[in-house]
Order: sequence, then structure tokens, then C-alpha cells
Amino acid sequence: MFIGSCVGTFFALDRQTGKVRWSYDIGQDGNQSSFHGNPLVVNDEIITGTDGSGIGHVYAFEMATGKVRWKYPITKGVPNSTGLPTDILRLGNNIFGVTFGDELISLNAQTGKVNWTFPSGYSAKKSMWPESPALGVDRVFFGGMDGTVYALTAQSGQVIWKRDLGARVSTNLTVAGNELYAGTTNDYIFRLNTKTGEIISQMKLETTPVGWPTLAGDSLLLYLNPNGGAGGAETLLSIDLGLKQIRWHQEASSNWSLTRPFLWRSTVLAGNEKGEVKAFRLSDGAPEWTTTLKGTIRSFGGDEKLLFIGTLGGTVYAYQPGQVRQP
Amino acid sequence: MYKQRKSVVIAALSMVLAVSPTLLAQNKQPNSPSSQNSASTNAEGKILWQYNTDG
Repeated sequence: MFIGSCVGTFFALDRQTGKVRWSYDIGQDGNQSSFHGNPLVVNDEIITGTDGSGIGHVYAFEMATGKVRWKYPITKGVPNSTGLPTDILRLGNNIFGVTFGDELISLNAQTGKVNWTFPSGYSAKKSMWPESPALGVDRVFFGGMDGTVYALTAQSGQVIWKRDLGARVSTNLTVAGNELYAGTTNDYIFRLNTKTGEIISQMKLETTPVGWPTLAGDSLLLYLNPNGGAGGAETLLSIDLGLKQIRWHQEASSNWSLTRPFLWRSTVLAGNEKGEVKAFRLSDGAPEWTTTLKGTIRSFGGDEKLLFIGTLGGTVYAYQPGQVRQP
Repeated sequence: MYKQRKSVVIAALSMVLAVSPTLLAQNKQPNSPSSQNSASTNAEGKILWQYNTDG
């Protein structure tokens, strides 16, 4: 398994023992120390974005050895924040991510050469957090800080359609078939037609949707944070895909510290600032199990049997829940 | 106020974890967990190992 630490080191750990297979210090390439988006596995490579102050990169590491196959430097950004903090997505030979300063970039996954770039209409120089794009069959969707969702051709970056949502996009984008979900800072979640950009439906929420809207069967999981931003959320919400009704919600006893719902078996895992990991049943939100680790919960990974849990303090745990139901 | 909140959030997000399906498949060794540090158990489950990345 792979993990990027807060001090600028990317690790490949043996999933059985936790021993380091290899590591790479990104500080050798400039003043950068953060990994904020999920890495992407492409064949025998792992690709990840980094950010820092003045420079960030996209790296392609040889998965077995940590050798850098290529790296793409990014010097655009906003004051004190440069680089690519979003998830990286792949369509064919091309990969996509969004940089600080709100520019969607497309790189060749094999060479790291830039294919095209597309800046949103966002012009302010505040250190605002860009949102991860989403993919369609032949296109990439980009939720801009200018409050507009763009659909662009994956190959050339030409705009197919754009839709003004009236407020800054506050969530990463999520695609379900021919429908696209995006939240906004004026507390709406929208469902758009991926072919036309038409708004199919929308729901007014109590507070701002943040993080990664996540598909779970016929439901959409969302975090809400009245202050915006991708951490410190107060509510985990399950709504129907048509955006007609709230199915269940779970309030945090201590703020939910990561806003990427992690689906595990028939539950969704949530973590908070007190180190609690809680599993809620997807169907009705009922608590299934909980455990407490040391430190603020930052990340989840795993397979059917084993969970990997990262904390803000830098410790990653391999955890085997005690009440595991057979798949 | 919002900007201040965002700066906190940026600091709080500095860790990400991903699991390589390929590596998972290559290394599958059911029922033979080992521990880098001492394994511990709590009421809900078991920590098989833990590793501190120092950040």
C-alpha cells in the first residue's frame, strides 16, 4: 500500500508487515511537502500529485522500486500554495487533475508530457482549494471556483458545454452513468445531464456539501460542513440519487475529519478528530461498529478483510475489525 | 473567516492513502499477519501493525 506523509515523503509499505519497501523524499525537488489527492495506479506505476510553496509536481513512480519514471513540475498557483492537490484520474493514456489556481491539466500517462490545460474563470489569488474532476466516456468534467461546471473533450480540452451553478463548486465531482453531481457553497447539491449540462434536479441542504460525493448503490453519500472546506464536517448524509429525499444522516460527536466516504462491505466508514472510526450501515445509517485510534483520522484504504487507516499524526494502522461479516 | 478556515483545512489534509490492487494481489498471505511493532487488540478488532511516517 502507498501513503504520502505530511513531511514530504511518499512510502510504499508492505501490507502484511508495514515494513517500508521504498520511499521518496519530494523535498529534493523543491519546497513541497504535501500529498492531498489520492494516487492513481496505472499498470506498474503509481502516479501522485504534490503541492507546496512555489512548486509542486506530478510524479510517476515505478511501483516495485520507487524509481521516478517521470515528473511534471508545476509552478503556477496562488500565494503559498502551488502544485496539484486533487485526485488524479485516468482516461486511456491521459491523466487529469486540477492545480492550485484552478487549472485543469491533462498529461500523457506514459511520458508526463502536457497535452493541454484549461483554467476556469477564477481569477482571485486566494488560497482556495480546487476540486477533483470526474470522467465520462470521452470527456472530463471540471467544477470551477468560478461557479461553473465544464465538460471538455478528453483528447483536446475543447469545451463541450458549461453550466453556471450560481455559486462556487464546493465538492469534488461525481459521475453516475449519464448524470453528474456537484455541490455548491450556497448549500445545494445538483444533478446534471452529462451530455448536455442541463440541471435535472437539485436539493437545498442545511449547510454546505463538501468533499467527495460518493455513490453507494442507489444512494449518494455526502458530508456537510457549515464552514465549507474539506475537513471538519458535522454531518454525514445519505440521499437518493434523484435528490428527492434524505435517507439518513449521522452527526459527528467530534467533527468528521475526512470527507471522503469509504465504502467497506455494506458499511460506510467515517473518522473524526478524536480518533474514532465508525462504521454505519449503508441501508439505514445504523452504527455497526466503532473503534478508537490515536490521533485525528485522515485516510482509509483496504480490502475485504483488512483496513488501512492513516492519522494526522503520521501513523498508519493495519486494522482488522472484530465484527466482520462474511461477504 | 472562510479563508482562515480553509488554511486550517489545508494543513489538516496532508495525508493520503491508497492501496494498490496489484500489490494486494501479489502479497496476499491469509492468516499469516506479522507485526512491525507489537500487535495489539482492542474490544472491536485487532491492530495488525502500525507504522509512523513521522508526519
